[in-house]
Amino acid sequence: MENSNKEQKSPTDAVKAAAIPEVLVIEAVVDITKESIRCFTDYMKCREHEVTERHRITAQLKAINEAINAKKEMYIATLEKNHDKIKEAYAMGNMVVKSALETGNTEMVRETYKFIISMSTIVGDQADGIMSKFINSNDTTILLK
Amino acid sequence: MKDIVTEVNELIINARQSYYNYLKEQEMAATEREKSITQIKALSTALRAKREVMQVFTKNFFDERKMLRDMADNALNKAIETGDVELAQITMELIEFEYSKNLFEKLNHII
Repeated sequence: MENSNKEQKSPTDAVKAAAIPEVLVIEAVVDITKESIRCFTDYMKCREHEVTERHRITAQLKAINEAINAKKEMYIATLEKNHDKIKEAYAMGNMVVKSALETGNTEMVRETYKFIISMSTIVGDQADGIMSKFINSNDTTILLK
Repeated sequence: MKDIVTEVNELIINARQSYYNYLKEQEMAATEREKSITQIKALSTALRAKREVMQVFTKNFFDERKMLRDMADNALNKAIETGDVELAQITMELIEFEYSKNLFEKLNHII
């Protein structure tokens, strides 16, 4: 009699027996949720850090551009000032040479030429120095860090 | 049964972790990209500035040469007019001095 009862077990009973206990499922869901929150928080932290870093880089670029342009203006102004100085010297020399040519004073012309050559060398060297300093300056290295 | 639940649980958690790790890497890659772009922009600004300064330097160099040449031309004409050999000689020395200055040599020395 008992044997015949066992054989008569319905398919629903079999599924019930195989079903996952609710507690296990709840535990799993809780685990997943906890881990998801942890991962999300971690990601948000990283994102905030990266966004801030990108803002810093952009701001630094702006500052570097401003610095380079300011420096450029300064160097151009110095070169122009230098050039004006030599222009003045040449104009003066030209005046003296003209007057010396009128009177036929070759010695005066020679001395004026000496002065011009000397001025040209001094001011030229100064201009070379200004250029060299600017060309070899490296304002962008800070970004490489 | 517990094993299956644990397996599925680990699978989902791993998938989640991988996804967020991927997102983090994307953020970091975006920052690196931004850094490279910024570097190129800064280098290009520096290069542009250097070119502008060089242009001024070159312009001044040729202006100076022209001024000296004009001065020398006047003196040389006068020397030819009057037949003054000494004046012609010192004037040509001045021209020689001016033309012995080589712009590219200067630039090479500077750079």
